[in-house]
Amino acid sequence: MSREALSALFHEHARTLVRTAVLLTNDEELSEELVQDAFLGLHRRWRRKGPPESPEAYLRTSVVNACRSALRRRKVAERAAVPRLVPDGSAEAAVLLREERAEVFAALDGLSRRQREVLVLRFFLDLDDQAIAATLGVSRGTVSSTVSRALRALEDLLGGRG
Amino acid sequence: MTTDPETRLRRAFEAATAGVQAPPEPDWDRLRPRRVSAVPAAVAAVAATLVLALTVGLVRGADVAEDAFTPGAATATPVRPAASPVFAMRQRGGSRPQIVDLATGAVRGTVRPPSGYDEMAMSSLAAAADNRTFFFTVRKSPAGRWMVARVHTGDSGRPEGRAVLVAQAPSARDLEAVAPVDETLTTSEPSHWASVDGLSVSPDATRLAMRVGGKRAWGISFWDLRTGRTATWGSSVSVSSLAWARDGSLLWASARWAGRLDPKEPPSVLRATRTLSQRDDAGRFELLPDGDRVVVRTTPTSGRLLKLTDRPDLPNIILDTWVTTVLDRDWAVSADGTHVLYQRNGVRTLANLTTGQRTPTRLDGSANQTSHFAW
Repeated sequence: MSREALSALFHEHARTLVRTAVLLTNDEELSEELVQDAFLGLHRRWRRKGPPESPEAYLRTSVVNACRSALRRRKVAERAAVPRLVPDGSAEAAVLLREERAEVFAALDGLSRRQREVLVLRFFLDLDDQAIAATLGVSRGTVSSTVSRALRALEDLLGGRG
Repeated sequence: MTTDPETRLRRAFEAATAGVQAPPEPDWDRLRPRRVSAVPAAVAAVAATLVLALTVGLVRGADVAEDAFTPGAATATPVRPAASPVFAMRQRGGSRPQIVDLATGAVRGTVRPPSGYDEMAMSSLAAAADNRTFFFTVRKSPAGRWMVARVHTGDSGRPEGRAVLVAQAPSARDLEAVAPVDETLTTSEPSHWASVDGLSVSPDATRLAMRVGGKRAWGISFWDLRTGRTATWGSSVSVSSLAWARDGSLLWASARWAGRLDPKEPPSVLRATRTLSQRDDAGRFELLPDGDRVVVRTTPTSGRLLKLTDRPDLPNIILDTWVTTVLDRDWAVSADGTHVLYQRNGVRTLANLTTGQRTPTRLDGSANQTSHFAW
């Protein structure tokens, strides 16, 4: 794979993947590193075995798996329970919006890891059931039921806070 | 808000990550082709190395045989001072340092430590006068040797790749060999390595000085980053602050005394050349290149930013006074010694040490209050 093609792929997808990883780990530094490693992994794989069917899907799966491993390895799950996620110097100073966001993330912390993953892949990346299933290595039926259950649980949690 | 969960999720996801930037592009050339035919030999070599490392670790203690640092291996090209500093390195707790924009408070990038060096609790920070070269201390484990890493940023403030190791703290034994040892101080768990209590980088980023301390001794460790030459000066007291003078000498100060050393001379024990006034600051001040000191004095309800001259013919200068409801406790002098970044009622504020002009920054909030800065 040419360096130019790899670079173009990086510029097209890296930021979105970091944002996805941030939503899963709540750790921006870690997310940057995981995404860079995912791209290096793609580079390595491409050179050894040729291109994957979809480089984008390959990267997505790498990042989600890396987030899981990192959360286990570095035990940042405790940190993920803190509804930080407010970028420094953000212009979004609207108190209502901030409170709304904090409520949603507090509710997300009450979900299982897989429920959180499917919600991020569905409602941040706008992936359909099939793409989510491919990313997580589960069946479409599992995705569908996990999304439904996660939304119901989220609604209960948000309702309980309201 | 009464919208459905899906909409709330989308809105929260979008807003929470809107400020996230793309990471720096990896160094694609980092990957080297693997030689399949060499695998058995490589496995054997790795196994032999592991056995050797385990043996050494068991015999000498695992934290002793840890670094693969080569003094002088990292290049050090003199840098030019920036017209005015716009970035600062910020560190919160034990997290990785970030480069922040002083004017907007925006994070320009996160600094990645050298591979394997993730332990950064209580690390020290420093900046060169170009405002693009930053230094910080790292180690592999809580019992490991403190190393100094350097990172360059581009004009956008984004770090250019992973930080590299440029210097290391002396061993406790090397420090005690040059310092007057307080024999009354003993410990049941002696440390192998000296701690690094502070860093100071020459304005051109080619020389580095560390305030170091062991369980029974203190001193200053000097590094010429172009040659890898190093020397350690011992001290009978803990050194509180360092600054590079315009003539290239290194100024030092403890809570009560101050002096000057020439890094070109053979190392010895520090000799004080003056006694400091205002001992109530207990060493909590920053030295300036002209030997004056900057200090923030706070009470539960007020704060004062002062420039202490220690000269009978020149009075101390009060640069700012304010009423405060928070504990304003951290401040940092710019690498060129012309400005100070201090907390004023919880908001990081810039003060020009010559004119006294003050400019509030966007670095506010509890996170910034508990962070350390170098710039």
